[in-house]
Amino acid sequence: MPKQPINVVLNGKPVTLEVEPRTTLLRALREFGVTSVKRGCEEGECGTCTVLLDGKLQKSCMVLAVEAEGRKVVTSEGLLGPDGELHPVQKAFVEEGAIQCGFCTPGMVLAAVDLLNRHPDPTDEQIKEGLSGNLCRCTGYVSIIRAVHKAAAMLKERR
Amino acid sequence: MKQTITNDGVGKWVTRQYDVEKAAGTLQYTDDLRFGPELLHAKAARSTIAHGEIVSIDVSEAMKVPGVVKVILGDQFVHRFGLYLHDRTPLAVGKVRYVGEPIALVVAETEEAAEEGALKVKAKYKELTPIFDPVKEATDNSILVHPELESYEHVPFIVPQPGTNLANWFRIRRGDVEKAFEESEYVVEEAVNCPQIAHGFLEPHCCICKEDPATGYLTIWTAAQSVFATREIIAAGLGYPLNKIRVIAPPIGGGFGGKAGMTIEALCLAGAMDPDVKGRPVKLHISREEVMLTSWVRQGYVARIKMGIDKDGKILGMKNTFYFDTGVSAEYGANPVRSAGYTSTGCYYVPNVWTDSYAVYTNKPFGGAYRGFGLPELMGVMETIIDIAAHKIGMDPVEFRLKNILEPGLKTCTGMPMHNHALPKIIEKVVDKVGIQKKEEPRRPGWKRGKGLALAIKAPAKPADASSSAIVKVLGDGTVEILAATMDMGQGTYTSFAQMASEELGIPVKKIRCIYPDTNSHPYDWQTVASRSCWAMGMAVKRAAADAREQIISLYAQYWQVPPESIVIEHGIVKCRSAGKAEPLDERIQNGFKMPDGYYHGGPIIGTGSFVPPDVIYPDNETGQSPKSVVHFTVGAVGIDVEVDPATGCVEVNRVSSGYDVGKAISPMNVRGQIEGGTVQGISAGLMEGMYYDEKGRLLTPDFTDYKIATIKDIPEEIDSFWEETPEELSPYGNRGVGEHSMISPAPAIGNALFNALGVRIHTYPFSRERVYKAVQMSKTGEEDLWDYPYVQEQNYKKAKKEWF
Amino acid sequence: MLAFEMERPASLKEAFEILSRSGPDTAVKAGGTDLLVWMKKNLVHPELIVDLSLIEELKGISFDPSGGLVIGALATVNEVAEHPQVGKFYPALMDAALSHSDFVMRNKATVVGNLCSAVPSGDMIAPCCVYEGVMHLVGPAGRRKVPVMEFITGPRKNVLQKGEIVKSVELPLPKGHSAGCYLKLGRRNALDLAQVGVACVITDGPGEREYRLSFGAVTPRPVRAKVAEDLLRGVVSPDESLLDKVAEAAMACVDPITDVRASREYRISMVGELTKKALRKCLERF
Repeated sequence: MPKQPINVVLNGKPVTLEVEPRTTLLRALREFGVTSVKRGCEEGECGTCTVLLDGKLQKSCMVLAVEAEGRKVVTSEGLLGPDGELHPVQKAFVEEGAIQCGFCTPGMVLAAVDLLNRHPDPTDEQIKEGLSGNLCRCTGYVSIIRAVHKAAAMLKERR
Repeated sequence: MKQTITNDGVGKWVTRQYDVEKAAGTLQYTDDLRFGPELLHAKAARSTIAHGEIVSIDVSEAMKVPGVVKVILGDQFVHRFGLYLHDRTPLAVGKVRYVGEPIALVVAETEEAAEEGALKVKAKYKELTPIFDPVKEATDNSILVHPELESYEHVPFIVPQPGTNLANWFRIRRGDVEKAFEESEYVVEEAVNCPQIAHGFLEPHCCICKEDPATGYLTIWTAAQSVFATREIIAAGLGYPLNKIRVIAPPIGGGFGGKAGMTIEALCLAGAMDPDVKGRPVKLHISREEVMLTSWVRQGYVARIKMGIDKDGKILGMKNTFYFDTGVSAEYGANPVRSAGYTSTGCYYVPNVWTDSYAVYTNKPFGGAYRGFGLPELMGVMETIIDIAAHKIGMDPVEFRLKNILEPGLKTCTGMPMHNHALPKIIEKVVDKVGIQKKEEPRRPGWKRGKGLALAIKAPAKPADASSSAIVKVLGDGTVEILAATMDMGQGTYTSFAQMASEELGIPVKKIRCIYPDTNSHPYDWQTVASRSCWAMGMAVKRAAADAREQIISLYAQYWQVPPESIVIEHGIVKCRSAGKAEPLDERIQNGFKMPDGYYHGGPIIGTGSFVPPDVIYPDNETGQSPKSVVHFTVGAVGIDVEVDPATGCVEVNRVSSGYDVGKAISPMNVRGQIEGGTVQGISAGLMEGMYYDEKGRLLTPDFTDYKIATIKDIPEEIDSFWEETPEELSPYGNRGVGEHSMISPAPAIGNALFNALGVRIHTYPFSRERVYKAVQMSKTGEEDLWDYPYVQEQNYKKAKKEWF
Repeated sequence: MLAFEMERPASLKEAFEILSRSGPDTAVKAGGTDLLVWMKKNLVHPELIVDLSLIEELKGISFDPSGGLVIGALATVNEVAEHPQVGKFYPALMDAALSHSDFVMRNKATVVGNLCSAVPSGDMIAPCCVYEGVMHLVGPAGRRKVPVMEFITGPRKNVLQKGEIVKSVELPLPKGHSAGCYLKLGRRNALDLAQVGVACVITDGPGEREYRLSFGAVTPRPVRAKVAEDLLRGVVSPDESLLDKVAEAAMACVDPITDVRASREYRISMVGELTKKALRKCLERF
């Protein structure tokens, strides 16, 4: 099957991805070199491939790449500051020990960023709802909840 | 006098190595490595039946798929592999033995072409009767999964029984158990069973193999826990020189034992070593379904314990019969069977013991290592039956446990004296924190509340000669590189090693980096398993760091012409207060020092350290006795407070308290992480996890749609994790392992809590909503024991209404 | 995943043209969260996928007090869950939307897609039945309306003809004061398919109090518990013995299968238990 070009704004920069109709956004991004989106199940069950697509969370294995034509994609790398500094959510994850193997982390971080956009001062329940689509097998989630609360406080301070 | 000062040495709360890259998403796992257009992709075609002779395999349609380069069949790559027992071929040879077994490897230019090719491989079989029930097949033996068992190589401490389905038979014969039963006031005999469960790590297996066509050198990039074990297993299986195999392990996305030993590498090599392929790298990334279907699982089991107890509540004798469902291969699974066997009286002192622990072959995916390695299985049984026994003799379960606890100095079932530990204190704390002996009103109207306790124990399960070595290099900018071939798969060992090196070198942790394993650069380590790394590799790292420190101090002593004892390394600055000297570690550490005599001395500082446990003796194969069967035990306890919705069987965990005697917490952030994570993994296993098959051996839970693991909404409302520090004598800093232990006891603690809530004993894991609902219904009619025999369920499934129409 | 061709029409007209000349192995997708999984598992191999996601006419949710709620074919489950009138007038749908998969998937999965997939455990089916939803179908031959109850004809089967597309589902506004809920039982608390789902609505219309009950994952086709509903009709606050009778009647109208998610027996029991819970919850909310 011949490939066709699609244009997306990837972490703020316009890029062209070469894809087949069957290419999922996950595979297209990985082929392009953005490997923070992970292949955990490729069936929408694990959340390791989560991205922000036009500001909305999506599991990129459930999006065909052609559907992203002309849209904005943000991955975990895209949260870094101009000098590579971590986003407050990423920083809070590091400080609270909310990372173990790290395979769920990029997706989990994006889900937390999205959650904090919607609920700047979230309850435990809101955190659980917002992160319910992202599996983590290592941490038991407890430290992740701590990290999201901490990130909320850090973001509040920054505002 | 201590000659180093640091703020983030052993015992300090410091953030973890590589977490910045992990948070940013820039850390590259195996699947993230790039090899350019020369990379080929492999995909396995798999057996659709559980047991049969291969009549023919037609690859002609597969070869027609554009991009397919080669299809390799089992008879083109006949090699037996195994860690303890060589019973596994990467591709089926002559026979298939489980649904999902690779029958052909399709190698293609793209992943998509390989997949399409695999779909087009057509096999014909002569079906044989498959076997699934380990208890039946251990005794019947009319159908054999491995009729060739006699010819398989194995290590001396594994005892296969040729002509049967028993891949291993571990025994304890201590005292006179029958006499003990005769002398007992009470005899309790109960059984518990549990299906196979899966690791559920989020990164599927992935590896890339390449053979240099000129030299035959093999390079393997793989998501493996243990590069050296992978290399040794491959070398032995292929009959290949060890030195011609290089294994590189990038960071791995979770292991839990599932990436220990050798996993898919040999299958990938079948492609990479093919004469038509070699020279090009071949990548094998298996899908989630393939992970579920054809990688290690935790073995299912059916276990029976008979216990004799005197009138005061002292256990006099114990007879244990454990049948482990090891599936089609016991190459690794034979050892958890042994591990459960040599710990088969749990945390208790029992003078008379008889144990038979069997690994039984069945036509299912293969059993291997999974966090806890035989002990979640053993304690899943033991802690249930101890609780039953306490109720039967009318004693409080906490008191009954304390009365029989394996006090320091008392002998374990292998005859080894127990070392010092704080288990009674941990039990006391857990009981207090959860209010185990207090009845409380449910928080949710109409629900039932109960509390349960379960103890944990585990020794590192490994060969007696499992050794480790490390190199600590001090670089020209005053930073440190540690080469220790442990895999940090999330447990945080690299942070612990960095803290150890910081402690020994007086250099801040932020200047210390542990490098991911590569057999070409790293010195030898046996495996990253068994909660052994902070202990065994820790010994090597400590020695290597101390060696480097002594070299630095000796050079500075000569350079400054001061006594070595007067020198300290403080936060990376070398000081001699009496001489008024203070200099940072710099390029002289690399290039040498111009000494007062004008000559250069020194050169790059490389500290080395090695370790092998000095005093372990294998248990005797006939009796299981040994003066020191294992290096040490980590003990702990879990208290849990649950509520049940009687209308649905839904279980929610209010609180869990989980404490372990870790000897010394090297890296508290990671100890907490291990306890929290393992506790939730244990709760998940206890409440929802099981691999189920239909009557033809087809896996019914082949993906995350049907193999459920806990989400963030399934965790306890409160997890209290804590530890005690009774120092271990032979240990880098008094520390013992804790990586696996938190997974051991949450499930039986839930079972005990459910009994407390409902008055019904559930003898079958997991405590799924459906099963707990059944228990609720039984409680209404006064029935007390719920036993679902898993293999009967598979037969029942045959008769069930499974389709509409 | 095997290769396929893809078309992305920008209008319904364009979509009809494409569908009129397409072969039998054509799949139509909105969110695609079912289709992509089935394709990945090699359960279906379409040669052509017609992606509706660019068609403006299929987007959005509208509410009109006289007519009711109209959910466009492309409206995601989260859009429905977040719609203020859904929470207010269609709480059973709101509950069901929030119980569907997980927060991220709900940004992609559509309500209409869930109905079209016609998987018996689809969380949108039972609430759309209790709100007496009607599917608006458009095709080259014109438009037709089909009640959700009739739209789904069996597991993964619906009445769509070749070339026909669902434009929207319309849920009439319950008459008078009403309350509703959807209770779902899965194997864990998030991201699971229903073992059993129960949707319940109570209305105080112009006449006597009315109850509507529908179940997910326990029948091959959508079902309303007519006998149970009749037992309750006009009763303002049913007592426990009536609830027991209603539960019995509910259990009698389902015909679940056994699969790895739950046994037939457990599912039947849960229909009874959840029916009682749902009724109590509705009465609480009323």
